[in-house]
Parts: sequence; C-alpha cells; structure tokens
Amino acid sequence: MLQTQNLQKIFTTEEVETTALNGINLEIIDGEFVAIMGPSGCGKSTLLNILGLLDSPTEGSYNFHGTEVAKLSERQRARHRKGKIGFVFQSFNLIDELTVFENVELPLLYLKTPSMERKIRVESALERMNMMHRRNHFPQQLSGGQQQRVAIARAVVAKPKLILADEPTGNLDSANGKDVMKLLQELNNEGTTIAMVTHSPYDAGFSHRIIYLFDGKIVTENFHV
Amino acid sequence: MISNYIKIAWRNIIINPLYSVSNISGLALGLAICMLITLFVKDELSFDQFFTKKREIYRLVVEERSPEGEVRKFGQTGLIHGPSFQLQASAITNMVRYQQQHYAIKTDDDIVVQSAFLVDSTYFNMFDATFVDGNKYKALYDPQSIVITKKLAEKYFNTISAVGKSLNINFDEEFQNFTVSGVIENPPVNSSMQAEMLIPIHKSKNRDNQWINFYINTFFEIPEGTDIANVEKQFALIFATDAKDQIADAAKEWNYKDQLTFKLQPFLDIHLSKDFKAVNGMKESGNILFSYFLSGIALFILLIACINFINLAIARSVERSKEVGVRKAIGSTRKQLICQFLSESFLLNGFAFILGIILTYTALPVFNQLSDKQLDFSYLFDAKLLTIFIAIFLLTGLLAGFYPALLLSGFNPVETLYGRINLGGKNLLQKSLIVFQFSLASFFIIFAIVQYRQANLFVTKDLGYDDQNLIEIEADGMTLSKIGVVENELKKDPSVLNVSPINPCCWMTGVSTKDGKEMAPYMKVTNYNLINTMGLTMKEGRFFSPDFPGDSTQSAIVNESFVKAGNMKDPIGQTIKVMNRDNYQIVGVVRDYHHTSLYQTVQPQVFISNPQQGWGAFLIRISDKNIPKTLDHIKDVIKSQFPYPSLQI
Repeated sequence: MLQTQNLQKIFTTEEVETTALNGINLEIIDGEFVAIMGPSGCGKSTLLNILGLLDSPTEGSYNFHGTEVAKLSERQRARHRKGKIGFVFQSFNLIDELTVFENVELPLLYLKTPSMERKIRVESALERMNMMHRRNHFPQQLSGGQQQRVAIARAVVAKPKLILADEPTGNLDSANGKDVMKLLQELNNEGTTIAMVTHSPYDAGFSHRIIYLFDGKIVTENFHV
Repeated sequence: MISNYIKIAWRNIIINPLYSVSNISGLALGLAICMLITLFVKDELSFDQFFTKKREIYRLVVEERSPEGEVRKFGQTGLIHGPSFQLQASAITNMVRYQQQHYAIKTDDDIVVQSAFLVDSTYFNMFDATFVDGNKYKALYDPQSIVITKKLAEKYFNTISAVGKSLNINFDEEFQNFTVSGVIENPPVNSSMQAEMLIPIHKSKNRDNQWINFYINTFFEIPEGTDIANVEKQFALIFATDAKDQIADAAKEWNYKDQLTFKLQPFLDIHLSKDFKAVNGMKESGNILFSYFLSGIALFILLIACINFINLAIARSVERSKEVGVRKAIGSTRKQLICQFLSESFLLNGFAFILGIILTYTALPVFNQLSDKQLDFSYLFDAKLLTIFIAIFLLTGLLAGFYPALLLSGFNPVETLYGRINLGGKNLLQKSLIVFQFSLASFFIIFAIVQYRQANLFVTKDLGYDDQNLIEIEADGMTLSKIGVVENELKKDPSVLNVSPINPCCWMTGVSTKDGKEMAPYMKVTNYNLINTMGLTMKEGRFFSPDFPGDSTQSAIVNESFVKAGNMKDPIGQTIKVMNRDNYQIVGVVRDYHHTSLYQTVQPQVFISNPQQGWGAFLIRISDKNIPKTLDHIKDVIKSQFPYPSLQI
C-alpha cells in the first residue's frame, strides 16, 4: 500500500528550524490496521498528513500505491488523494453549512459520481453508520459520537483503500469511542487499510501493529497477533 | 456541482446575517449611488442627442472684447444677424430664431400668463417634433397661427385634437385670435428646446435692425463637413460691411469701442457649455466638469464598496479556513474552490444589485428633487447602459470574489485543519486595500464636510442686504402714477413694509468718470425707497430722497466696488456720464452687497432713478407673518393695475 524511506520533515520559520520527522522508514501493507503512538510533538500527526498527501516531506521517498509521491506538487497530490484516501479527524471537521447527507455526499461530488449512484452510496454509508434518520440534520444538531459517525461515513463513501484517522476518539466519551473503534475495525475487516494516530492504548488495541514515535523517529514497533 | 456551490453560498448568507447584511448593503449602497450618478450623467450627456440634425445645427454666438482686453460672451444675437448672415453665407441652408416671451391669454373665466416662443416658420425643418395633429410643413406659415404641445391643448381645449381652434392672446398690446395649426408631443425632458407654444416670428411688429443688441437665439443649419472657420470669417466680413454705420454711430454717441466676433457654437455643445450658456428659454445649462466630477465620485464609491467587500471576505476567511482544509482533504481541487468562492461572491453581488436597483428606484424621486431633474428609472434600460451595468456586475463580482477566492483556496490544508492560519503581517495586498479604502473614505468625509460648509456659507453668508421676505414681481408698462397707486394699495396691508420699482435683472451700461475712465457697471433703476426695501447701508453721502426732486435726472448712487474700480478718491460730488449721454452727480456710496452670483466678487454698480430708463418690476418687502394672505393681496393689487401684463409672481 505505502512505503517510506528516510522520510524527513523540517519546519522552518524566520527564527528556528524544527525537525518533526527524522528518517522515518515505514511500510504499511494492504489491509493492515496500524496505530501510531507517542508523546505530543513527536511527529505523529505530521507523519499522518504526509501519508495522507496533505503535506510533503522535506527529504526522503514516499511510495504510495506504486507511485513516488514525495516530490509532487499540491495539485498532483490532490489528484492522487481523491477517492483513494479517507480522513477521520479528532474534531470531526464536518462542514457546518451542509446537512449530514450533503457532508457525506461531498467526496462523491468531487469525484463527479452520477447523482443516482451518489444517492445510493451515501444512503448506504449512512445506514451502515446508523445515521439515516439524521440525514437532513446539520452537524450542530448532532452529538459528538454522531458527528464522528458521519465523518466516518464521509471517509468511506468513496470506498478508499486507505483511511487515515487522527485521534478519532479524542473528543468522544468512552461508549461512543468504543463504537467508533468498532466501526473502524469492521472497515478494516472488510479490507480497508487504516493508519490511526492515537494516545489511547485501548484504541491502539484494535490495530494489528503499533508504531511508537519519539522526536520524529520510530523507536518501537509492536505487533498484535 | 454548481447547485452545491449555490446551496452553500445561500446557507452562508443565511447563517452569517451580520456579515451578509453589511456586505450586501455596503455594495448595494455603492451600486445605488453609482446608478443614480450614471442616470444623472447620462441625462446630461444625452441632451439633444435625439434631434436628427443635431450635428448640422449651430447657434450664432458673439464675443465682445473691450479695448482693455475684457471679453464678454453672449449666446444670443439680435433679430437682424440671422437673416443677414443667411443671405450672404451660402453654406447656411436654414435659419431659425427662437425667442421666449410671456403673453396674457384670455380664457373663459380668467386671464393667464403663458410662456411662448417666437420662431421662424422653418423651425420644424430644423428641430424634430412629432405632430399629433396638423401638418408640420404648413404649421407656422400663417402669421396668425400657433403650434402648441399636447399638454397645452389639453389645458386650453380639453382635447389634443385642437387644430382649427383659437386662442385669444395679448400680442403687440392687443388681444388677437390665433388659430392652432398644429399639436405636437410634449418635448422630451432632455431637450434644450422646451417650447410649449410657438408663434411665427414674422407676426411680430419688431423690425429691430440693431447689430449691437443681443436678445434672441439664432440657429443655423450647415451641412456636415463644411469649413466652419471659413463661415465665421465670412460673418466677420458681412458684419464689417453691414454694421459699419451703426458701429460708427455707437462710437460717436456713446464711445463704443468694443470688438465683436461672431462664432458658431455646435448645437450639441450648448447644454454643457460654460462660456455660451443656454439662455432665453432654452433649458438651463449643465456643467460638463460637474458630470466628470460626479463620474469620478461614482467610480471611487464603487471602488470603496468593492474593496470593502474584499476586506470583509478576507476577514471572514479565517473562519472558513477549516472548511477549505476539509474540502481539500476530501478531494477538492483549487480550481473547484475558486469556483465555489466566486459563485458565492456573484450570489452576494446579485443580491447587492437587486437591492441597489430597489434603492435607486426608491431614492430617485428625492434625487430628482435635489438635482432639479426629471430622471426616469427607465433610462437604465438602454442597451448601452445595460451592457455597462452587466460589465460592472461581472467586474465587481470578479474583483470582490477573485482575490478572496484565490487567497482562501491557496491555504495549506494542514495549516487550516489544525488552525494554524495566520493572515497577519504577510498580507501586503490586504493591508494596501485597507489603507486605500480608509484614505478614500477619509477623503470623502473631508470633501463632504467642505461641501457642507460651502453650502452653509451660501445659505448663511451676509449678502450685505436683508434677503429674507423680499419679493420681486415683473410687470410691463410701469408708470410713475401706476407705481404710486400700487404702492398705496399694497401698503393697505400692514404686512407690506416697503415697495420699490426696479428694472429687471441685470442691466449693464457704459459709464465714464470725470478722469475719462470707461467702465461697464451694473445699473439699477429705482427710486428713493430702495434703501429701505432692500436694507442697504450707506458708506457715505445719502440715498435718493423725495426731499431732492432733482435726484431723478441729476443724481446717481454708486457702490464701493464702483469707487474702487474707478480709482475715485472723493466720489461724492463727482460727475459720471452714463451711456456717453446723460450726466449724473454722485450723491452717495452704498456699502457693497452681493447683487450677482456669490461665485463672483461684488461688481461695480450704479443706481439712478430716472423714469426714462424704465422699470420692469416691483421689489416688495413683507413681514414674515401671514405670508400666504399677503401674497394674495399683492397678486390682487398687481392684477388690478396691470390687467393684461406678462406678470409672474
């Protein structure tokens, strides 16, 4: 699915240079569920953003689906990202002006999916997340757990091969968090590759492999059986 | 996708009412002002454009240059100039004279005063008019015929089919029947030629052949492509030959030494000319500089509105940065984001346009009142203007939407998703826009204050006399005895405080001082009462007085500016010669007061009380109590003494 070699990310401001990632060598295979853990500021989210083609590395190589994408422009990254990667964020990041249905529909609009097919796929995703009854509501009218379920529906509606989740349960109570993790696990069981940043050992327990980062480097990898 | 953009745009408008209202209303206000000014400027520039021969018509104008180099410009000439020039200058294919008069008309139960125009019978060959009744080619040939507008036909005959009906008009001092030979459409509001009643000029007994007497508009029709400078040279030769004797007599009789140059003013230039203005019943002139100035203001206001729109959009972009990040993360390209923000901009723009149109429509009556115009909202619906407004719509939408769209869509998705967007410090363009917007706004505020103070000055400026509750009424045939009767009758109402006969505004005359200095001061013909009627003050000497019976033929009063212009050290007792003919002794100097426009400094003025010079109006001072009743009393008294005058109150 993806492979990085000696990946580096350095943030430069007028005064200082900060090394966020320092020589990351990582391979995630199709169908894998990987959790990325580590203390705050260790580079977890930076790594996730580069893997999700939202950002580009300063140095190193990144092979995504057989294509070297490390040096691609913003426009080229956007083209590769579309339909292949789904995102789930800690703060849900739903668009407040759109209804639940419209939020989930958005990735399909960008993919220019025909309207009938859009409707079927959105309804299917919402049914799966048990959110059909809320299809015409706006995000502010939903609980945190419901919003995250909508966010997951939006992430999966285009049937991406890879889902990147950045602390998906960070803003949820334990019951809702557990539901979300179960949903991710189900998606993974159906073949979707998942990379998830988390602070929660419980959530990490749903993954096949836990990668620990410290000061921008991978320090340990644990495999679950 | 487009419907999604519009849906989002609409919800953004609804969800952020404060932002939407301030943005839409700001732009709408800017557009409304721009539309109103466009209407005004269009009206000014469209004056007379509908005349078929607009480029072939010229007005004969004249420049009078004194030996001292002072140049006076007249838009009028005399009765003789037109026919003489037409006869000898072969390029002239048609000539029309156009002079406004006021006539008393007897109706069934009253006598009314009506404005009418004496014109040559070829008037309708030069100036287009739509005849609703009658034949334009025969309309003005019979000297006893008149042509009237639909409005007057309805007023006097209650029908527009008035051809053959007659009106009893006080013409050349006797009531005569004139037969309506044509009824024309009311003239368009943007026409300089606003005649509602036309009478053939050959009906008039006036056979004035004076070359140095200017009181009538003369128009020539000259084919396009003619060398106008050459025609003007011909005028100079004709004048030198035909007016030779009159010029010599004038030089001998009243020391006339001025040089006259006759010129041709293109008809389309008249309305906006500041040198040769529309006069003698032609619709009042505009000012092209004012139009340019207003157009500049309209552009700047629209610019401010657009910049305001952009700045508000940028200010709000921080709130929407997360949305941009999300959209990018889930697959939107930059192009799609630009389209989205542009469609929002155009939607807001559309609302602003609709609101702007409503505001324009609502404000038009007030604007018409303020600008003394009759602008019609339908003016906006002409192909050229519609194109301009569509262009403004597109330009405003693009200007106002493109920069925020470009800025927002350029955000790095990671920075926006994690709330790390910082617009401060880097955005030079936005800073420049804000500085520009505030500078322009400050300029307009200062400009408005200056204009307010200027207008206030015009209202409150001490004119040197009491200009409140002062009425001027024109009346023909004023004699000493009639003036006495009118004064006595008027004063029966205690609200009438003072009455003075005066000559109508604004005669100028030739005056020479004892040192031989030639001057051309304004002349006021009046009597001893004027000092009280106007509230003038004396600087030295005295005003006319009934105690000095010789005043009417021997005494003159001058103002301070006259003394200054004449370099007179001790004016009282000095003799001045008026019109190179009559000698008067200066018996008093009045303090300067503004008797011409406030734009001018106070001009030299001389007062005489010689009845032979003729009066033409009453100046009446009334008290500020019960004014309507006093005005009715004044009307009754004037009408009782001047039953058939061309009087206007």
